[in-house]
Amino acid sequence: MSRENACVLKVEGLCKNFGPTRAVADVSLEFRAGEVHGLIGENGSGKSTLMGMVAGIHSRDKGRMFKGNQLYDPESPAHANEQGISMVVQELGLVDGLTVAENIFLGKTEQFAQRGVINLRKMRAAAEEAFAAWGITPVPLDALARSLTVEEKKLVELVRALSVDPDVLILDEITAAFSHNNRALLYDLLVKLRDQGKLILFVSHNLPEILELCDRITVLKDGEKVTTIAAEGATEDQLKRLMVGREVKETYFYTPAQTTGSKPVLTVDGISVDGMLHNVSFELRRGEVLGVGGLSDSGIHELGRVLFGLSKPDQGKVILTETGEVIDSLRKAIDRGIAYVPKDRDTEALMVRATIEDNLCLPSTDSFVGRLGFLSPRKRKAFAREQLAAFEIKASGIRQAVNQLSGGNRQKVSLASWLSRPNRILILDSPTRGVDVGITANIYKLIAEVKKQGIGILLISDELPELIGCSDRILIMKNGAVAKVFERAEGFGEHSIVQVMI
Amino acid sequence: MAGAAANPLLERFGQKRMQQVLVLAGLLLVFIIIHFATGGRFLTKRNLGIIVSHAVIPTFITWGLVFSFTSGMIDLSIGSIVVLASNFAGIMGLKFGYAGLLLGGLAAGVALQALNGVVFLKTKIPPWVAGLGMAMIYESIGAFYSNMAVRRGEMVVSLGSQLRGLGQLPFNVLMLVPGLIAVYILFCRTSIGLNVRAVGSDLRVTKEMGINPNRAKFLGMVVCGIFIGLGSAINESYVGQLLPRTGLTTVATIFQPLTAVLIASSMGAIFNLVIGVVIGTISLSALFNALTLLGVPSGTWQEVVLGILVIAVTVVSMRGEEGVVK
Repeated sequence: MSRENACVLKVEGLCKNFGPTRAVADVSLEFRAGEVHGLIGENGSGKSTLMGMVAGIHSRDKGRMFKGNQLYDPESPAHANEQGISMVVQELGLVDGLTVAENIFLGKTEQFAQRGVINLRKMRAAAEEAFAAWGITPVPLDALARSLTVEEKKLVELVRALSVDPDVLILDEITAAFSHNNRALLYDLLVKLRDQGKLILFVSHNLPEILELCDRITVLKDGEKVTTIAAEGATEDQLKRLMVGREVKETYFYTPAQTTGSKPVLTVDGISVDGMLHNVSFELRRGEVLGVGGLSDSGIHELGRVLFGLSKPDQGKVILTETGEVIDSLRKAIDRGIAYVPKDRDTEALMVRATIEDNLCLPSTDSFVGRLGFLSPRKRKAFAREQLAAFEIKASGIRQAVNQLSGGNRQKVSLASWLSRPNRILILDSPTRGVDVGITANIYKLIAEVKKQGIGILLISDELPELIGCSDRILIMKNGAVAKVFERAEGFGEHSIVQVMI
Repeated sequence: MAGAAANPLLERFGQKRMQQVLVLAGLLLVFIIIHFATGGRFLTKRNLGIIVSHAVIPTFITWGLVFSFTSGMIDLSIGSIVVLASNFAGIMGLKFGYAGLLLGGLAAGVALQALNGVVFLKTKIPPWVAGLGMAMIYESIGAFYSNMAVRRGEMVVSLGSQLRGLGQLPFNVLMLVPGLIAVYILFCRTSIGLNVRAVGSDLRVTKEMGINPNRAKFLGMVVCGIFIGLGSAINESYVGQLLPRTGLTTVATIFQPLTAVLIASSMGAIFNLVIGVVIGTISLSALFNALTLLGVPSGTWQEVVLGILVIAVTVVSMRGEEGVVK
């Protein structure tokens, strides 16, 4: 898919430091009109910061940018929008207290105002039109953003970015939030935009997706540009080697489940949640990975919340099979050894303003109690440092605030905080979302190790290869109900699973 | 994603109207029960007039609070501003009639809230701390004025029998209509209101959308001043004379409007906030009225009920937040 169009955006010697942390170091790149340009790299490699500078979110310490032949110096994202550049950021980028329509046009409401009074009907109609024009799955326009799922929020952010009719569209890890159907829609949309001569800067950890969609790929490592290559002819292994700086061969670490003769560890008995789950029943066995997949409205993410006691089912029970105890609260779930790593790490999994130490230690607080019954700062620090090293979290130290970390490193903190405590059941919702290829491999290895300890793992994921690669069984949900359970012994066919999903 | 009709969010929107009817019906039911409990003295034409009349001033102050509190500017000096603005409105009213009364209150409210905005935003200290400091200053200014008047052998401004119509039925209640229209337009239909809501909800995202948060907060404070000023003018007309107070006693003034904001916020999913404020202030006025009719002493047990109500309403409104966080 190689194209030789005119250079539409050029960055020269861009540098950015956050305190002592070097985020981007002397990066120069040229981007062409009518191309999808992939940006890949490990977590903390500087992809999001580089794109943030282009989109006017971050100021730069050094360097210049040109849009076409003109010097481009965005003062803010709004200013970048005026110059035809918009971005969907990796973190959630909506104002929770505003409606969908208000979020789409926040900062640009003058176009609907007459004598200062905004015509809400016109604004709503324009929002509706934007969803329809780009063929994006509609989201209720009057709903407050806080009531939306992560996927719906990302759809709104995408519409907002498109609403300025950009020449340059930057998408940072957007597909990590999307399920199968919305990914397909996005891919079609990107092809359409490319054909219209737009430049799409596409940041993703999903290498097959990068190879499929992009014309050229730039690899970043430790804030520096490694190389830019044509996607045509490139391979996943080649990209991994460029990103990590070594061979990363193994991706999945599947080991057969030790389930023979073992009782189920968790019984889900006919749970229903109004409009989300319908009479869901299954058993999770000791030492198995039960994969859970489905499309965006299938209820897979709500299922994790119900099992952990975060949402109360209208009907049915979640039972700890060994004791017969009903899990009906979050406290009980934690006390009985159920751990849950949610999909939405920033709002559900982490205290983003707190330190890494506080985040890592919180779920295991009881284990830091000293002789006199007080918390031992020494034990906490030792534990936090140990986890920081074990999960290879890139940070200046355990006292660094989580909101200063890159997206992938935040995910590592989220995982580490739960995986480091004694668990009986582990619920992982999209554990590799926004995590680079090296750490993804580590997470899969970790899942295999946890499984060997006899822990039952429920792996909820929008990534079908991940489910196929890690699971002993795959439970596919459709419209809130269990559609089918695939057994590994029968063979996991990607095509047959997708057929059940849709 | 399923079709629109199957989407639970869309279904929820269809239920909104029904929820509104149910809340209002529930409120009516409570009023009917109170009516019988008070021996038929509650739902009389005269008593209803008193209830709504008593809700007017808190409603204007609460509308003002909506703008400052929504953007995170917890201003504890509002009670002291009401005292100063009421006195200034009285002085101007005696010189220029009703126009002076209204414009005087408006000017004082806007000026003092704008000053607060500058102090809060420039010092960057927590607004509630800065607000307490400003309350002390405003109370002292009131005391200086009062002492000066006494030294001159005069009284703190008193309207006597003049200009009292604005604070009485039906004019005070009629003021709610333009007030509601204005607050709705400003809060829901202008970029001032939109930006205030955005800043209070998510500062990072709002900044990324190119909105200047300090400007948004300052404008929110100024608009707050408009409603505080109007409420002060009606207040001066209602009481005739408002004596300045010291010792931070004016801070207590904020609790009833604050309760109304909490009530409105707890009903945020059902009613627009500005309409929720009216329901909240009228409900509070009705509650105190009912307690008085039932012989519950004010100054003690009525305040106990208000305290319990504040906690109960906060619990209800925080339950929604908890769901979001988790």
